[in-house]
Amino acid sequence: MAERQHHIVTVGLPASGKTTFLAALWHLVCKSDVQNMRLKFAGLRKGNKAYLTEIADLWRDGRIQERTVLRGDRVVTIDLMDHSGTEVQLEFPDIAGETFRQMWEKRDCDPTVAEMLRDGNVLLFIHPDTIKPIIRVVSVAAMATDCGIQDGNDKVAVPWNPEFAPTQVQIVSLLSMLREPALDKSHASRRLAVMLSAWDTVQAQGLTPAQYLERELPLLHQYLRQAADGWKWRVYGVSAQGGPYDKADAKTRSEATIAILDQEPSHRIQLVHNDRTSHDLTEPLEWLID
Amino acid sequence: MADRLIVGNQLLIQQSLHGYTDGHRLISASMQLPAGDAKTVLVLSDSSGGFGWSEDSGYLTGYPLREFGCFALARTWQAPEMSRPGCVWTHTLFIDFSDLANLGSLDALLALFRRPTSSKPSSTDYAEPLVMERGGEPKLSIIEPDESTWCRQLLSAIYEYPKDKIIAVIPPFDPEPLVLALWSQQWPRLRRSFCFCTSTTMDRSNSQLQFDLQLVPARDRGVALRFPQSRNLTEIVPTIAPWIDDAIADLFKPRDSLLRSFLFRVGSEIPIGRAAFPALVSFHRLLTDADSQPEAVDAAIMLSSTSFLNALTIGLSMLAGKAAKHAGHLSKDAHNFLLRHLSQLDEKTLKTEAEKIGKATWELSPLRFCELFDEKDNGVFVGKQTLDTLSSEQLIEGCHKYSSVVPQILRHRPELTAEPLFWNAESIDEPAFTFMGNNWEQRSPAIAAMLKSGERRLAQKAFARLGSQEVWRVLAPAMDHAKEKEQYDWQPWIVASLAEPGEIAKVLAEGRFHTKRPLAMIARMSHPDQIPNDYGDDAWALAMRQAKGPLPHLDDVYLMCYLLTRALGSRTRNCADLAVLAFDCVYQEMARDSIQSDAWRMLDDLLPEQRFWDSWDRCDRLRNAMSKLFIEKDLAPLMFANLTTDDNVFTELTRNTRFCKGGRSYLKRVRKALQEESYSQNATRINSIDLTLD
Repeated sequence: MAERQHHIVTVGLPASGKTTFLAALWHLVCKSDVQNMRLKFAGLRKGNKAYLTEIADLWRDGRIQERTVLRGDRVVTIDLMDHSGTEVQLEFPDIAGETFRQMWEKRDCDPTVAEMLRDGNVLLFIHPDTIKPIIRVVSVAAMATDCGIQDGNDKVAVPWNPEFAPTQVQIVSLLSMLREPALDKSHASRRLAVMLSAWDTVQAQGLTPAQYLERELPLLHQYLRQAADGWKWRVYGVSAQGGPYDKADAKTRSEATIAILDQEPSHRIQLVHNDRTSHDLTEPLEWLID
Repeated sequence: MADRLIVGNQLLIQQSLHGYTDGHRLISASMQLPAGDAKTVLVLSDSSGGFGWSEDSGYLTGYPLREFGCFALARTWQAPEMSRPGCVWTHTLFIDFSDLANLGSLDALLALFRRPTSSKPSSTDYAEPLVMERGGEPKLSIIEPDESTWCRQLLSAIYEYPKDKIIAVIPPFDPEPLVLALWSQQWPRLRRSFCFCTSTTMDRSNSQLQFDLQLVPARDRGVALRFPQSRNLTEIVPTIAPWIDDAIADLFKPRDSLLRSFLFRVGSEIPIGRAAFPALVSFHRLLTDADSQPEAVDAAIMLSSTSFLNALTIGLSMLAGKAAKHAGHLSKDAHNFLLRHLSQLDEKTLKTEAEKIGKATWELSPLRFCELFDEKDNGVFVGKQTLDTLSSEQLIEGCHKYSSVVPQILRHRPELTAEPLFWNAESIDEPAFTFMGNNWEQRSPAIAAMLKSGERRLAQKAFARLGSQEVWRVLAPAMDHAKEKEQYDWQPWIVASLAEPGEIAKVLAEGRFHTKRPLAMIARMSHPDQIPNDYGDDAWALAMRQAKGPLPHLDDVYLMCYLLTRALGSRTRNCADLAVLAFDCVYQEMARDSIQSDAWRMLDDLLPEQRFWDSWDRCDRLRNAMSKLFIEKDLAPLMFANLTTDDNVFTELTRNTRFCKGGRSYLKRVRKALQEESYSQNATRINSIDLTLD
């Protein structure tokens, strides 16, 4: 049987949903109870099964995942089979979001992480709740006027810090870095699947994921549309939880979580592409490895 | 903001706070770290994973930041108040490497940790350095039995497997005090490199930092997989080596222990980290034992060379001090060690033990002892102190064994040359004579000692190297007082002196001999004509005037024969004096036919030949010889008249003289001289001459 090896990196700032996606994916491929899944599970080649089971258990139980700590990077290699029966080996490094923040703020990347990031196709996670918007000078001036603060009365100047940068600025910079020779030796075209996490929270706005991206993250949208760094891209909306979860140590369960727990776990998952919805988290993976 | 004023006994501790704000990040700090160290702190301030911490106290992480030159001690607490699970607060204290030695009690340091009370602490909350009081006594702990076992196992693991990362399950009791006690027991150089974490579910080591000790939660079954190339405490059988008992005793009662101050002093010299700990503790024990057991010095030396490659300067200094107290009871190796480290002895020890060290060194090897004088101050001090106190016998024995030490020894103890025992070995001759060549004042006593030693070989060397005058200055009086049985001992000296007969003549002429014994000895060893008389009076005649006292009969006869032979010989200018001195004694001896053969042989050749049938009459020959002597050399007639005190012999003499050529006229002159003298005793003599001439 033919085998293909693929390297996919999950990229995203802290609390962008990377580990939650992995937990849901692990549940999905193990359970295989969703029809017409693009990729089917063939085995765990490398990785801490106990860890995957742990995060999957938390996910199933409607509990928020513990944040991935720095130096807690784990690499999971899953064997999947595509529709033609070809085995596909997918390697997922689960990297702490702070690592990417360090790359933006300090222009620093650990060599081990750099090795993980090199050359693979990218799953980029963005959580709508954590998007730091651009604050325009015009808006600030208007707010100041409304508050009765006169221009030029600033007594204390706050030095600019990279952490102040808007989310899309950081992400565009990250994506650019991924195309730098240090992290991209071949400089061949790379695929990028933008995963808008917690899609259920913005679904009511009636936008497709691509439209949402264009509206909320225009700089990023423009960067991708102009193919400035040669990315081939798609945008997905993903709700891996299906709703809000409780903390791991919560003694009493919230009503919302209880409602989620009533559903079949695999069916909590929603994946939206354009105007099509499915439970199949392997769909962006299949596109990335195509 | 003005710099805070720090009083001498206080430490300035920098600090930082890390927590979750849009990701785990630095929230507040009192200083800026270099980029590399900042990244290390960021990573190690994040959660170590999972469970097993105390909610109130969290866990501790300690690690060095080499770029910044400090040790980071961090306490991490869970932050359940944050929305994301897994968030933590970490308060890190940065202790300058140079301050690690002066921390004293850790309680004051631990009291500085402060968990944020708000979920959004301000960037200024931890922006000022902290001030801590320096020093203080470590807290005494009461050790429970299960703590003791665990502690013993932990010490064994950390120090007997120094290259390994050690992991241990968190025990049922709080391990933090023990871990901190272990850390504070280490000397500063080790302490600043010792990485530890009191709760973690993953290996926190990276390419720059290897964690020496990590404690893992008890229920973590997968620990072995997440800590590759590490050693689990459960694999460790606690050592039974003595060092561990000392270490534990110090750990729990540091106030009663001298080990810690020793480790602090000596550890600074050790570059090899954990591996050195058991050896250093063992070394300390040996140093303590060395107070009462000399053999402990040997063991300590061996340990030092095998474990530390002799890198312990301070430690070896201490050992040298202990060894010094046992000087004289040390093994050879230990004593050599002491000598190599003499320069490191303190003044008090040196003064107290110098003599002991020197004596032991001398007994070990006089050669090595003398090398002390080539060394710097301490060696010379020991050498001098010792030389003043070593007995002459000891020094002489050493000199005899190793003649190369003679010059050094004599330089400090020149009076040894005045000991007869000193000269009993030929090996010392060359260096000793060379020494005396430059030290005039030692010559006379040395010569006297040589004479007393009875060493015959010295005679010739003494005359050759020290000069005849110098030797005779001592030899002459010594010969005067010599006993009869010692005559044999003087032979080589007299033989040697005969190489310069002129000097003997001087000695004789100056009347240095007050007894006749030396004259007899010289006579026995020399030829009658050997001593010159080129001018002035004959040395023998002069000597005989000064020399008094009896001689044994045989010696007396021999001497007289000698003088008479000289009188008959060609050298003397005082024939008559010598003849007068000697004639009667010799004649009487001949008359009795008791003259010894060696004396007769001297005379025989010089006495005129008789007719065959008269050759038996020695007296007659002697009379003839005297007659001819006085006639032919025209010696003073009055001297002839006084040649003998015996009138009968005089009569016989005159008869022999009458029949010699020129004898009648000579006799007339003798008569005339006697008449002019007008002594009444002369009448008989004059009568005898008259009868003879008629």
